[in-house]
Amino acid sequence: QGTQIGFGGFQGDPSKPVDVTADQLEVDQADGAAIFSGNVLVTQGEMTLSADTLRVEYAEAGSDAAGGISRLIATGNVVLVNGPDAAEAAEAVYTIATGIVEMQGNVLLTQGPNVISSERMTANLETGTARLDGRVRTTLKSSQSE
Amino acid sequence: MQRPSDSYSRFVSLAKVLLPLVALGLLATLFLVSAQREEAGGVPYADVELEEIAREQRIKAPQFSGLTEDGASVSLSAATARPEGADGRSLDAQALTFVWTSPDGQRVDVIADTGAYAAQSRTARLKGGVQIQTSTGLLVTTEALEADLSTTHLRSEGEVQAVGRIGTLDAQQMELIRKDGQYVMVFSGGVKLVYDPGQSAGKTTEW
Repeated sequence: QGTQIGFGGFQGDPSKPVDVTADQLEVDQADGAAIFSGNVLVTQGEMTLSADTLRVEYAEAGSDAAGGISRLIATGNVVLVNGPDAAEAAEAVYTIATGIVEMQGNVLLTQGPNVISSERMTANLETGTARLDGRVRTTLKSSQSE
Repeated sequence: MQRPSDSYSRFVSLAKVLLPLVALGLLATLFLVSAQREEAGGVPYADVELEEIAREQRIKAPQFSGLTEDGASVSLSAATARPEGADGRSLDAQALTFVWTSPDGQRVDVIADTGAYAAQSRTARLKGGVQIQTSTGLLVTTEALEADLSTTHLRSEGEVQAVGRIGTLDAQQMELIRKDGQYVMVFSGGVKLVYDPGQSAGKTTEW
């Protein structure tokens, strides 16, 4: 079963420039595949995505992005922070053109006091919503119990 | 021939002698009077250049090419080069071009203002406005680059900027190495990339 919730609470902007900082970048000379490694941090507007490694996938020359970056595949303790909300997972795939981030591998979403865990999460930065699937468990801490 | 008595005959015999002489004189002065053509143009080299060419051995458009251990072809050419160092086998060159081509056709083209090539270590050091264009569509610029011509190993000395499909990139160092069978360009020492989805679509630097 899946739940639909707000994520980041505002309209993200996927056409903003994407900054990536890392310790190292390897570009394969055969096909141009690029892999960032060593505390990788992707920032775009209010969104930050940190991971151990990040692989860059290019769009085919014909498609809309015309040879630019189409997807960023982050692996290794991935943390996606969008405004006040944060989500952790083993892996995340961010498609820049659509602003969709698909996270999987024991996803843990924290929104203020509430913590929701699931197997997969699809966050849409443009609309500021997220959908969790697979064994979704929510722990709501009511404010009085603190 | 007895002397003619009347004056006409005397005149004729005199004329027979004088007239050829006058003709001869006219003919002789023909070349003297002709227009003074100025003397043929001087040698095109200025004196100072002549001494310079004589003093140093200068090689025009030298070209060096060879194969690295892993089978990639390397070629180094320059506008001019001068032998350097004691053994005279090392060269100091201007306007260098270095081309590395892997066995399966990947290419790296490098241009630089000046450079030095050391024969015994088979390394070339390119300096000044170094531009490195890779067949993957990346244009890397740096100040100095060291190229090992016996194995495939390029290493930038100092920070580099790179522009390509991936966006614009700054890094402390760039190395082209062979890593588990693949040729990889490694940017290290802290990498910062800026990719602008809107504007960079299709901005590949053809060179």
